[in-house]
Amino acid sequence: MSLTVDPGTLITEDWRLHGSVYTDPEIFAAERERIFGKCWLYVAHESEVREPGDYKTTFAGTQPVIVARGSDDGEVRVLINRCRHRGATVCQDEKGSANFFRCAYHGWTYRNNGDLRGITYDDAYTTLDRSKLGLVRLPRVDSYAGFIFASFAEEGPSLDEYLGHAKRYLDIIARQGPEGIRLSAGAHNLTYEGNWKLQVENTIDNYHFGFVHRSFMEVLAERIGQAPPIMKKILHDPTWRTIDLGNGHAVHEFGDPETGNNQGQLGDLPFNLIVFPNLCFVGAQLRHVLPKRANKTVVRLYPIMHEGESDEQNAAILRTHEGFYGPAGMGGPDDIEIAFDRVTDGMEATEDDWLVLSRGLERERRAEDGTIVGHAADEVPQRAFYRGWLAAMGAEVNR
Amino acid sequence: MSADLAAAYDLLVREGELLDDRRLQDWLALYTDDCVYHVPQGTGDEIHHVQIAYDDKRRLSERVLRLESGFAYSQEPRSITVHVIGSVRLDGETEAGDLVVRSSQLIAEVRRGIQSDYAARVTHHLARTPDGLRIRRKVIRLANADVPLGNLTFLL
Amino acid sequence: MSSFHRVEDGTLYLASEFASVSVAIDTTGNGPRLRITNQQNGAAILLDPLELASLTWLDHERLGPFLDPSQTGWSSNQGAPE
Repeated sequence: MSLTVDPGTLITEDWRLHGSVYTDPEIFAAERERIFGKCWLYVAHESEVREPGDYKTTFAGTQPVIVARGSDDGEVRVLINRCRHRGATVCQDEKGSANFFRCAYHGWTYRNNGDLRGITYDDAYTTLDRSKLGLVRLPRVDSYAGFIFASFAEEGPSLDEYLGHAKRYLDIIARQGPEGIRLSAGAHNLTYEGNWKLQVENTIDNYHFGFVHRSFMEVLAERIGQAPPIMKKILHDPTWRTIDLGNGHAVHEFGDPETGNNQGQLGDLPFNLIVFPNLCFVGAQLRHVLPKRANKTVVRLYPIMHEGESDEQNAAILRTHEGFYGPAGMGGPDDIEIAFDRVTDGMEATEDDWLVLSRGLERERRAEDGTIVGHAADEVPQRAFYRGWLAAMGAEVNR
Repeated sequence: MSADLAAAYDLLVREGELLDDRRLQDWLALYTDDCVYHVPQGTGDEIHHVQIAYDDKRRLSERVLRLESGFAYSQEPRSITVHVIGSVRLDGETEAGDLVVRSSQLIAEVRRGIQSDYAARVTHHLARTPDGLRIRRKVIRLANADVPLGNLTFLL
Repeated sequence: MSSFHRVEDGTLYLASEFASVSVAIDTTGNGPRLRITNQQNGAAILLDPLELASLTWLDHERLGPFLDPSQTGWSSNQGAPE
């Protein structure tokens, strides 16, 4: 599908970004095809489909999918949640156990690997080839460190190649509990009238913390007797740093990536991580950003539970998470207000539709492994994301 | 209407008015020190599943502190709310002797030019104290608890 | 979520978004059998212990024909299960 505008012209060499990336429905349609249609997309954690027959419904980009563990072979498949007959969604529940699925419209029945098992009153069909009418499968499914990804593209880099320097951080996340992690506590469910990229960018932005989350800092000050030196560390601690990991991924480290973030809350990960295009890790959660329209996004926040920890410990992580995140949180909603709603309002002004993403550009340094390292309050992660965006959209990445 | 029901109804109405008038300190004073303010989501319990809110008195106090700081941007401007409270009935007592009160509430909320309506089945546990009835537990089961939600930073 | 399960008076009830059944021990015959009842249409089957033991040989692929609606409840010969 061709675009009227060349995506390469939407980001200048000195890192000015054109506002239409957040607002233009044509760009959103192109992202569906070029980014969500090609990249490795996170769909589930292994703990969400542990047993043969387990399934979860979610979205791969904007498409509804079923992530199902085969009842006989135990293999995880990602199936488009749409009956091949007349198009109704086949599975409605967010999760369940079913070795076969039956469409409620006319009773067409599928095995949970997608194969069409049978059709009601099928004497009306004489030449139908059932072998070609299974639920459509995403051609590639793979997992790393327990995180399951799928791709609509039949060919391309392997998941391992795609994740690249992000793998190390996924390994650390997977080791948060004494016996690993699980996503078993449900998920917060949020929506805002704005572009999906605003959420991803904001996840690894620390520059905003002292401004947007000032009221939360006051709560912390009241709680522990003094304001925690978060902004000071963001601005001055050399072990707090941002890194462009390549392929659109980025991380914000709070000290040692194994043990950092001791200024954080109970259960907080040692870093914030984005895995291009729409998987994020922040606080004690996995954040799945679901694009709906150019100006509508749904976000799921899955608290990460620690395997091998007591129920009390894990419940404490949930209570801490709820204090900042979720629709009633004392932190996250301020991001939605300022970083998504007010930005979306601002995007109605198109007179000079250029934004500035060059913070810290002159003081980045390239590390030996090819990553780009910057200060904590710099926009290295945002540039990392947009390098991935440019590449996926088919533009040259010469900035 | 029995005396208990009248007193309970009066407390629920007063609670709604204090929230709508944004008199949050007075509202907080209606809650006991061992209170729980619970906005559930999903079907799981709070030990194993994330909730929209599961607050003790300290967390509630922090919310009030934040809302009065002037820097809670998700409440700048503040939501305008109207609590419409109905179907109030008593449903026995807890083991501790607290009154169990059920009600249906519609909270209309206006912010940034948009009106949202939150309907909820609400349960209160009201403790009998020397100062009158106080809220030991409030559970607000929103009709839309499991739908993607917007800004719920005002108190329900 | 449509899935649920409960035990009531010795009968097991389990449901997914696709079906709802009850499972109970039936002692009306000379020996015990398992009665499985489809809660959506009342249809039931009684399985003796040997039949039940045989089920453990199955994998889900081999159960396939029972789930093919044109072979079971929805074949044009039989008409609709009411």
